Amino acid sequence: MSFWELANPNRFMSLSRKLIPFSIVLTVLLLPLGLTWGFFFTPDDYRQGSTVKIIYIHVPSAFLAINIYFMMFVTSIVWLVRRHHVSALAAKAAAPIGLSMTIIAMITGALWGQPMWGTYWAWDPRLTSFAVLLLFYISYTGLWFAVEDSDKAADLASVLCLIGSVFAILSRYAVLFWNQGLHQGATLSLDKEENISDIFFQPLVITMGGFFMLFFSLLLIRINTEIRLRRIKNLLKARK
Amino acid sequence: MMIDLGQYSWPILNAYGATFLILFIVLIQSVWRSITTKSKLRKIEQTRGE
Repeated sequence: MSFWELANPNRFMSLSRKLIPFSIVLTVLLLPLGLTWGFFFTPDDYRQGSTVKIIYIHVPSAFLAINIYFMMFVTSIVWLVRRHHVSALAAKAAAPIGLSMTIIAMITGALWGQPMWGTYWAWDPRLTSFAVLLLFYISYTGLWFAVEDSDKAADLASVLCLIGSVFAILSRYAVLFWNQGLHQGATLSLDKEENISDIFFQPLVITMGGFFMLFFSLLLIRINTEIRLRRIKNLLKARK
Repeated sequence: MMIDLGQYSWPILNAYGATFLILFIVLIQSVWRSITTKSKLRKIEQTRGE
């Protein structure tokens, strides 16, 4: 099956009906396993003490906050170029999940920062770019509610998403662009040496998998809801 | 089973508590919206078929 066939809402819904149970099972397996392992069965860090346990919620939520925005960026481009409704609805469905991940990353980061840095907040490059990302998530979600015509809302929200993607990139690479501020470098990196010991890395990877599967399950559920809402709107319009 | 978090128990437990609360709210909102939308669509399609 071609990827573009998923632009057909019926095909998308029939595929997602098959995928949702698997993703829920994986979420239920991975998330408790990773969190329990990380929280109860890993030692304290030699410098950060027991606060290192916050890593199992802070890193996955920050990772998703940034990458959900990238997903929205791609689906927004698909909407603007190819006018597939499912792609616009996918971005709309992902935004509240991305927003909640950003809030989780900021709250857990602040609670971690206070004992380690002596402050809940600093105008550090990564923290500041994350705050701007949060504002873009809020604006993006608000824009969908503010504009009644759904195609126009999708157009405006997609353009806003493209502008905001600059800050998503900044959030990801801020620690590399400006080698200053309180926030440490990336914990996990594909192109560099990882800044984390295996004893923390293994449960962290499982937790990240759990968070990702939770996002994937919620995303599929929410896209199906958006497709149904659009169908309701069209049926009610046809009735008038 | 509770481990000793020492002097950092307040930030750690609050971080986990806030995370679970937010995830729970998103989960419930998504599932609730899905259920109500499904039943609304079913009703509209039924009345359309009559």
